[in-house]
Amino acid sequence: MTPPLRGRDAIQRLLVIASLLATLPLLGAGAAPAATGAGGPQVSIAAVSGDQGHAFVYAQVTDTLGAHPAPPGSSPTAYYSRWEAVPVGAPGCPWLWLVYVYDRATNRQLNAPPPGLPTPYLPSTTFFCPGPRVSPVAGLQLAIAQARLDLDLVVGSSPVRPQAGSPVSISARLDGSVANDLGLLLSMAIGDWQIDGWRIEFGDGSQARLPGGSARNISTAHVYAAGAVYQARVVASISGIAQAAEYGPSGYPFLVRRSFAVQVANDRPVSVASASVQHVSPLIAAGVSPVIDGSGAPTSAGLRRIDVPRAELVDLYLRPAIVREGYRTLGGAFAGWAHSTVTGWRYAGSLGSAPDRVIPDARWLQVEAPLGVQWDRPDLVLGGQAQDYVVRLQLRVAVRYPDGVAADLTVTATVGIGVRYAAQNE
Amino acid sequence: MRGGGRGQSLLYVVVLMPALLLILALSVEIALLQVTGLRLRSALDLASVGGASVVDTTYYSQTGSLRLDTHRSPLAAREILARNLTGLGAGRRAALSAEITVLNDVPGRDPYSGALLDRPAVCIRAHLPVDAGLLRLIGAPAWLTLTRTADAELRA
Repeated sequence: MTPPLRGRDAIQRLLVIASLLATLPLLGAGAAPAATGAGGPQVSIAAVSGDQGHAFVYAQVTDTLGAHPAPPGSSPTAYYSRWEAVPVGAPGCPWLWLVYVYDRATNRQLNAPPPGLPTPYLPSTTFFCPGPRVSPVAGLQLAIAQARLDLDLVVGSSPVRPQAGSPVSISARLDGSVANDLGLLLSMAIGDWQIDGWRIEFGDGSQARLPGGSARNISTAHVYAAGAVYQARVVASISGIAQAAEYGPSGYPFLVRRSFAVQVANDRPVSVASASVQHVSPLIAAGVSPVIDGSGAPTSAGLRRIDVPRAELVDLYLRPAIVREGYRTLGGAFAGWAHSTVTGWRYAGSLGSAPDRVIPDARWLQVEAPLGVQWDRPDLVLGGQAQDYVVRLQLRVAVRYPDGVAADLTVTATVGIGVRYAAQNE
Repeated sequence: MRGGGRGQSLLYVVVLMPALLLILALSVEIALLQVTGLRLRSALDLASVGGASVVDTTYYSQTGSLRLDTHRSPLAAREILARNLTGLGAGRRAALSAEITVLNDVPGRDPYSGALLDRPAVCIRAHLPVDAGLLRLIGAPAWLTLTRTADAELRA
């Protein structure tokens, strides 16, 4: 005969066994399997995967032939219990029996409720309605116990309106709630489950896998190449163990463990806007390292202004300086640096007065090749002040942007040159 | 009267001509000294300019700025000085003994003339012994010494 099940209102439930869940491993470790009724407990697991954000695991144990509640009085175990009848005043079943389980050696309570939960803590779905003088042990026993694991997966994305080419964060959070059933004869519990791994399908044909672990949430970044609405999907693989216990007439539990695996998935539409792409050119300055013709190798850093001796050929070696590297923007936001390389240079004229010799004239040079210049006249004098000549140099620059776009630029830079000569003083 | 006038003229010629010739010879001697002094000055100018044309190429390669080579610049100046004093009696000896200073730390003063210099410069002072010749007749020593200075700098 099965007592009627009522609602989920904890106060309305008349629970006879407090949380023995914590004590089950201890009991199992310390006790040998006891003989059970004919056929023993039957454990069934139903793992229902879901792709709408919800999945379930049902575990059930039945033993229609078993009828051996835990015996009253003492038993040769390392634990003992204290039973307490409490009037709760509920109209349907006004009495509640609380059971406190202790370690016999230390007198420490083993089934203390987790902190923060209401007292009394009633983690069971099995209902009895005992009287104030008749403990539940003496009453009818249920031949069935059920446990349930509810899994809820929520998927999110950030920012709300991402742009193509910029990273989008796909996140997911998995919540799980367990309802165990602990009776005097049969108990069913799902006490151990974990996330084995995550799979994130971004909706554009790519996917990522993340390892499982104790964390119940993940986040990963992804860059969508084009604007569209993508269906991002997160799949979590979960496995665990359900444990059933049947208590024999001596009070020893007989344990049956079953493993289960389930997947829960959920989708999230990610609306990616097409972004305006802009490729910004680098800023490049030209410096030179001078060497008087045939007098050695250039050793200076790039100089923006140099002296040259009059009527002597000076070799100028290019020393380009990337003042600011090129970069790419998406919708006005920075989206990666470019890589610029100077591939050639040439003389492109002079302000003030042209050199009397330029070798090799205005042809393009390799970056390592020198440009020879020579002035046979002194600086221009304006307003009583000697003025540097301004030499214009053109640089060929190859730019590679992070999205693979290549550009060849011609950059003009200038170098100031002052002509010096030896003269006697009067 | 006429015979007496011829006698007076002869007397003038005999008495005054040697004095006039001596004065003329001394004038020529002094003029030669002036010319030698000018040649010495000219040679110093050329030598200083030549020395100020020898730049420190290592420093230039490192900085792009010009200054004088403290080793090669005096050598070049001395060689130019020697070549331009050739033919002047003790000219070579004067070139070898000439004082030459390369001034890269500017502004600074010419150690020989005291002139203020604000660019890298070569400063030279030379002493040239000259035979006093007929000037000894008026009490000059047998050898006179002409001393001249010059400097040249790197200008813009």
